[in-house]
Amino acid sequence: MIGERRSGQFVTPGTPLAIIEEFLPGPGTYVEGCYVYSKITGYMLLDTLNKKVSVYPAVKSPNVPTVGSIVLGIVESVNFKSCDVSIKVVGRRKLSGSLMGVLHISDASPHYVESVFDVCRPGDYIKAEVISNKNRTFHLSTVDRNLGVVLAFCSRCGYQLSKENRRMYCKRCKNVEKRKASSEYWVLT
Amino acid sequence: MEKSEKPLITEDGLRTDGRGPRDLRPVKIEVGVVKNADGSAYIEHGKNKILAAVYGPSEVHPRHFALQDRALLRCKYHMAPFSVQDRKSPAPSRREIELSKVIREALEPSLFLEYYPRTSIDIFIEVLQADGGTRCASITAASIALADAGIPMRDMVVACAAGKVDGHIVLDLNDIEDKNGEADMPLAMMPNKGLITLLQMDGLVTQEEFKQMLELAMEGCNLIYQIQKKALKSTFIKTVEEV
Amino acid sequence: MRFSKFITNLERKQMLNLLSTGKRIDGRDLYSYREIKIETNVIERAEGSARVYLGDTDVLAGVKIDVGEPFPDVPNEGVLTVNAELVPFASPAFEPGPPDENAIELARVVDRGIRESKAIDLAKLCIIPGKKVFVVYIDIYVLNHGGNLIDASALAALAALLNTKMYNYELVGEELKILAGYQPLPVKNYPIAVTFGKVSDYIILDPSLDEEQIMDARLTITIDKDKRICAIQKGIGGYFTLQQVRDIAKIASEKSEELRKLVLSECK
Repeated sequence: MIGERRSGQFVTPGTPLAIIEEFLPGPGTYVEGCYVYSKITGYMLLDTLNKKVSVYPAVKSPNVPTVGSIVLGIVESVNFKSCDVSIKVVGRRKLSGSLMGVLHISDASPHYVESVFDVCRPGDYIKAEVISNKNRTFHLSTVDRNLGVVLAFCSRCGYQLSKENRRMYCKRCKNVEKRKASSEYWVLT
Repeated sequence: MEKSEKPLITEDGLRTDGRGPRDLRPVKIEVGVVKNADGSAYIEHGKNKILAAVYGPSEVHPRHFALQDRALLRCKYHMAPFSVQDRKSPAPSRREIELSKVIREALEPSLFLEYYPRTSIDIFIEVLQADGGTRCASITAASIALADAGIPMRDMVVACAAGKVDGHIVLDLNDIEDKNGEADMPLAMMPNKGLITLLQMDGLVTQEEFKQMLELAMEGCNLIYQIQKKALKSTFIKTVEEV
Repeated sequence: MRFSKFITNLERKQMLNLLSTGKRIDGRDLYSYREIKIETNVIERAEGSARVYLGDTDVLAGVKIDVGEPFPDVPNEGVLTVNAELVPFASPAFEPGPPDENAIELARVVDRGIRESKAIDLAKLCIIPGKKVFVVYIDIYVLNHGGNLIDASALAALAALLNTKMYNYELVGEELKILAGYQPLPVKNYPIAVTFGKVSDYIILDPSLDEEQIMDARLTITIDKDKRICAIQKGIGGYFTLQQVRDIAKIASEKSEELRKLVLSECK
């Protein structure tokens, strides 16, 4: 079943790479029966020292954030304790659709905040870090200086808010609101 | 419709397009042709011209369709109005709805859907020109599009039809043979495991002929698998050189 | 459907244990059908009708015959149309609205069996070539979903066709004049669909609703009266090995014989 093989060899999903007794399965592989198979398209890496076989991907991996990814998204619904974020960009790659993330109040700011409404409001653009994907949910954090709201809109008139000192100020209706703004808060106008 | 008066298989065993009974039509595959999609492929299988694109994993709309333990796989097979002799209405026909279902079910066992719960993976297949055996070519193309999207897979899926024409068992039927032949049997399989993920047939065959057709179709699948691998390889080896 | 699937997933282990001893959750062995009951002529207004009970599954098929135009590529043949309705009261999983992919697949599998085996002699249904032919509508109504709708529907459709009566007619110019008396529909082949399910590595015949929920793959083989295979359909996202397909084809041909005898004895 397994022919001649060498490191760097091009493999497609389902290609048998080794017998389980020979090599341990590494990233990009899976075990079924007594064989290790590739599960992605890429190049086989045979680590004869550690007896491990893995596949280095030739294709982009699916655009799904992992722990540590920086994501950009739109705030969807806000409660006192948490809010849902529709993730649109992972790192520098745009998603073809979107994925849901959750920002909890305890991960929102380095300081004490009374409610998530003081952090962000529905419709805001937010930059966050994925801190966990436990229970298959993307848990976000905006504690870091450069994380937080990057573009916010006035909840009274919908105009874009500007960051003035620590406050968010609406130039159109003079409304003042609270946000956990990122140090990279965009001013588009 | 062109109903051929001449025999579908000549005395020296050649078919209407000059092939032998166990020959495939020429297959050409390109990878990554739709720039917006997460993965895509274009296949020319004889006169079939088919595009397949994959989007996802992403949020499921409408949300109540989401599955808690795995990704939702959706597939839409559609034929362009100009793909056949008489214009086809662009609204999905019953045939297209059934094919969308069987193509999805043929690809489903090859994917690790449990890696992406509560998301959806959408496959769009557009038949630009049809010449018999579109569902097989669609499956072959969609599987490459899924590999191009980087979605973890147990195996590739390839599909090929076998059938009975003028009393002969033949591989890879074209449109005329499909319409005027006795039987057509599309088969999809995971080539490294030898597992059959799609099997349909219409026509009349005996048990013995059925067995022969099964074996011939699997042989055809293995031939297409080599082409599929080559297509993926040439695409990615090229990208590496560019970088 | 999702809720019942949840329940049966809990039972999956028990089912697998039973299967390993060659038994099934309802006491059958792996390759036997549930009890089949066929009633014919249940709807008097329809030209032909039949109701099939297959365990808990209850399917009604009605045949209506109309006059219409032939397809341009076969001007001297009648037209066959099969439609299936999964009406909402038959199962909580069925939704109101136009036929979904499951209903369409069901109708098309039944259609393929009847069409490819040439069960109806469509050439005899031609009135004026290219202009007027008889159109045979088979409508399948699922009244209770107890699993294995394909076999029950195919049986019901065949039984309905076998007792379909066509009125006698006379051509006056281009108009049809209906005469007294009836003649049977020209049925010359008897296709029987046999459906198998695959649970883990076990192949089971005639899966019940509970078994359908945990089944990995499904294979339907339609066999005609000469034991030839006339249609195949694989369903649900799983796979079969080559050997399994071969075995299934063999068992299907044996089982279809039993069912055919039953239908023919009921529809005399």
